[in-house]
Amino acid sequence: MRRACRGWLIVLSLAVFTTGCWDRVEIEERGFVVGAGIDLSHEEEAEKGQFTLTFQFVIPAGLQSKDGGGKNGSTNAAFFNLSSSASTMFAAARNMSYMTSRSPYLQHLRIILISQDLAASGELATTLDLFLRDHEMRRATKIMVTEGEARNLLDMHPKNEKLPVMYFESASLNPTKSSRIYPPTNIGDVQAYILSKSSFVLPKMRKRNEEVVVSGAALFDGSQKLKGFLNDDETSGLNILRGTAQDGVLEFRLNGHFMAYEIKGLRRTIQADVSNPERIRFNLQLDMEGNIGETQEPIELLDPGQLAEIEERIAKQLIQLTSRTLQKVQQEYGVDVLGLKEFLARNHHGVWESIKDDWEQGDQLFTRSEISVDVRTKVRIVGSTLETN
Amino acid sequence: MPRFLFRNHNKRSPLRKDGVKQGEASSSSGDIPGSVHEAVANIVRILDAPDDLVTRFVSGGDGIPSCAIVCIAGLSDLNMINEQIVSSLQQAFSAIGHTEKMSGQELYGLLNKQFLSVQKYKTTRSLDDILVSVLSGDAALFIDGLDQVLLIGSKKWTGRSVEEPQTEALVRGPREGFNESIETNLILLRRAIRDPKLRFDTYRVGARGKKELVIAYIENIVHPDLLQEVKRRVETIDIDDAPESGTIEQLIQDSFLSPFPLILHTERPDKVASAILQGKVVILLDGTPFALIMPTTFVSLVQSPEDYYERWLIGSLIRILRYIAVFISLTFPSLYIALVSFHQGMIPSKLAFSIAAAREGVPFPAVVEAFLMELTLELLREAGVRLPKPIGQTIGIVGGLVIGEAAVQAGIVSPIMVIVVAVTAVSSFAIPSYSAGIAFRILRFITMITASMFGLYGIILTLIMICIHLSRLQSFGVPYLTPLSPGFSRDWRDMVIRAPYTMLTKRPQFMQTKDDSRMGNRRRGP
Repeated sequence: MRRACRGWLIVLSLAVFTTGCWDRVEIEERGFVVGAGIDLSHEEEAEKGQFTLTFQFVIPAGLQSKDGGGKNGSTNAAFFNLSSSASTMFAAARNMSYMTSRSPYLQHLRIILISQDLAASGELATTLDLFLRDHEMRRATKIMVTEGEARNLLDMHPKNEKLPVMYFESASLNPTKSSRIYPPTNIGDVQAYILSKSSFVLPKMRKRNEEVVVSGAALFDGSQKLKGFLNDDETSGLNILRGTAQDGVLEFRLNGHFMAYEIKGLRRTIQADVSNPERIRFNLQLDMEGNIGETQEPIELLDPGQLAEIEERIAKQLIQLTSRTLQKVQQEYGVDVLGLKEFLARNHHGVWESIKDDWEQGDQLFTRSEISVDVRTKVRIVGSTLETN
Repeated sequence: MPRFLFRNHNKRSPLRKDGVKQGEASSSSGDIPGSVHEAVANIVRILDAPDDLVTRFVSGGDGIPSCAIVCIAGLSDLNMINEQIVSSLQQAFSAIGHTEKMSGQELYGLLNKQFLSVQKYKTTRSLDDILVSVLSGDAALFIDGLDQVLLIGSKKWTGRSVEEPQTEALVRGPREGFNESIETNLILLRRAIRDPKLRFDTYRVGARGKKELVIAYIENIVHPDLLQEVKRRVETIDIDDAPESGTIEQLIQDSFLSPFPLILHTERPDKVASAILQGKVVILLDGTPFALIMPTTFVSLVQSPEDYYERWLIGSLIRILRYIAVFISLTFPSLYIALVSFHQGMIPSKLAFSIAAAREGVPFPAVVEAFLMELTLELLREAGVRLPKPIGQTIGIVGGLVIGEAAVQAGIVSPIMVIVVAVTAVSSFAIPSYSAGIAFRILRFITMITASMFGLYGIILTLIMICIHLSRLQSFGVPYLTPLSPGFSRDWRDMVIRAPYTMLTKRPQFMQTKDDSRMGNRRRGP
C-alpha cells in the first residue's frame, strides 16, 4: 500500500516537474503590439503579397524614461514599427518574428488602422479575419480609417503622448467634448455589421502637417466597401441625427455677432409612417439641451423673448447642419447609418421584413424615403455672468 | 445530539482515571506512618534532603501529640507559615495545657474547630499528594498519631504581574492579559464571569512536570458531549511534562497534518470569557499565559474581540478587511507570478508596459524574484523575533528599507515585486490569529509554486485543494467550515459581518448549547 502510494507520488511529481512552465514567457520577453495598420502593398512589395501589415511595438523602457518619446530609433524611443507584406495577415504577422527579438504579442492591441485604399477595395472583412479569429485578440480593439497610408500615421510623434496609438485612442474618446468625432467602433461591432450586411460608419483620421486629426467619418455600405467620407460638420450632423452627440459646440450668429452653444444633452425620437412602404415617411424629433458657452455681444439674457430667439436660431442652425448630412448620406451615398433600419426592424417588423432586401440595395427604398427633422432646443444655463462687454 | 461528535473514539489509548502517570514516588507510596518523625524522615529521604526543604517540629509537651511542618523555602510563604500555622499550634498547645493524654485525632479536631486560622487546606492520606503539594508550594502539617496530613495552601513566589498581552494588542478592550500563574489566570476569568455555574475542573498533566491543567466551562451552557470529549482527550495525555499549552494543543487536536490551527490559543481573558459564554471549552495550563479554546472554526481565526467592542458597522467592515487580508496574503505574490509569466493580456495595457519596463534587466524569472524577496522577508521576520526589542526595530528598518532598495538598485528584483512583497507582509500581519497567519504563509509558498508552473490555473487548483482540505477538517467534532458547511444560517449574522447586538440574541447554533439565549430573558438563575 505504502509502496504503491510512493510510486504514484513519483509519477505525479514527474508529471508536474518535467512538464511545468511550458508556456511561461516572462512579461519583459513579450513584444507588445499596441497598434496595427493595414495597407495595400506598394509595387515593390507586391510580389510578396497584396497586403502590408504594420505593427507598432512598445519599448517599455522608453515609456518609463522621463525624457522619452524622442525620434524613432534613438535610445529612448517608446515604440518602433515593423511592416511586412504577405497575402494573408497571419503570414505577415509571423514574418515579424524574424525581424524582432521579441515575438509579437497581440493581447494589448488597441487600434487597427485601415487605409483608405484598402477600405475602398472592399477587402475589409478579409483582412479583419485574423483579428477576429486568433485567440490572442480582443473584441474591444478599435477600428479606424485613415486618409492616406496607415503606416505613415503610425510613424508620427505626438506631442503629449509617447505612443501614437495611445494618442489616437484617447483622441478618439473625445466625443464627450466634441460632436465632430464619431464614437469609436469595436472590431466586434464591425463583425456584426459585416455579418448582417448592413452599412456602418467608422471614425476617420488624417494627417495634417505634423499633426494627426481624429475627426470626420468613413461611410461603408453593406458590402463593406468604403463609400465616402463625411467632413467635420457633416460628422457633427450625423452624430446629432443619431442622437449620440451628448456634448459639443454649435456656433451661430445673432445680430451679426457670434455665439457658441454648448450641447449638454440630446434626445432623439423617431416616428415613421409606413402606410406606403415604397415611400416611408420618417420624422426625427431632436430635443436638445445646452448652455450659452460664449457670446460676443451684450444681450439681455434674462429676457424670455431674447432667449426664445436664441433657441430658434440654434434650431435653425441645427436643421441646416443636419440637412447637409442627410442629403449626403441619403442621396449621395444611400447608406442608412442613421439607425432607421434598426428602428423599422424593431417597431414595424412586418413591414421591415418585406422591404429589407430593397432598403439599401435593390430598389433603394432608403433613398426614396422622406425624412423630416424637427428640432426643439432649450437653453438651460446662460453662464456665470450676465454682461462682459 | 451532535451527530458529528466522537469520530475516533477507539483510536485513543486507554483512559487513566487520575490523568497522571504514577511517577517514581509511587514505589514508596503507602500509608502515612503514625509517627511524625518517621513520616518526615520518609519525605526527606524521598526528596534526598535538598537545601531548600524546610522541616519544622512543634512539640506541645507531655501527652500532647507533636506536629511537623514540611515545605519548600522558595515556593512557600514562610512568614505566613510562622505567623499562622506555627502560632496557632502554639496557641492550641498552651490552651490545652498539661491535662490528660490526647490523641492525634482529637488534636486535629480541636485545631480544625478552633485554632487553625489558615485560609485553605485539605487533608490527604496519599504520599503522592503530599509530595506534589509540597513541591508546588503548599505546607504539609503532620500530626503525631493522625493518619492524615493537612496540606495548607501557602504558595508564594515571585512571578510576572498582570500585563497587557504582547501578541494580541487591541485599540479598544481590556488591557489585562494572562500570565504564567494559573491562580492569577483563574482569578482573571472569575472576574470576567461571575456565574455560579462556571466550572474549573483541575487535572495534573505530566508524569514529572505535574502541571496543573484546568478545564473551564459553564455547566449549563456547554454541550455535555463536547465537555466529555475534551476531558477524555485530556485524560489520554501521557507525557513527562507539558512545558506550554502548545504541547497540550498538539496532543489533543484532531489532525496533526493540517497547517491550520484546530485549537485557538489566546492570552486575553476577555476572549476566553466570550468563548466560554458561547459554550466552548477552555483549557488553561500552569506556567503559560496561553489558554486553548476549543472547538475552533475557520471563521473564528479571522475574528477579533474588537469586532464586538466597536459598533457593528465598524466591526463588520474591519472584519471584511481581514478577509481581504487573508486573500491577499494567500494569493498576491502568486497572482503577480501568474500574470507576469503567463497572462500578460490580463494586465491593463499601461500597467503591463510599466511592469515590463521595470522588469527589463532583471535576470530572474518572476518566480525566482518572488521567492528571493519572500525568503528575505521571512528571514527578517524571524530575525526580528529573536533579536532584543530595540535592535529588532532597527533590523526591521534596515532590512525592509535598505535591502529592498538595494535589491532594486542592483537590478536583482523589480520595484513592483518589492511592493507586492510589502503588501503581502502587511496583510499577513492583519490576521488576528498568529498561528493562522503562519498557515497562510505556508500555503502562500505552495500557491507561488503552482502559479509558476500553471499560471492562474495553478492558483485556482491550489485554492480548490485548500477548500477541500478545509471542508474535511474537524475540531472536536465540529466541522472546520461551520457555519458555512454544514450551514447554520442563523450564525451567518456573526461570520463575515458582525450584526448589531440586537440581532445576536442567541448563542451560536452550531455549538448546540443547553441554554441558547443570550438576551431576552432577564431572570437567569443558576
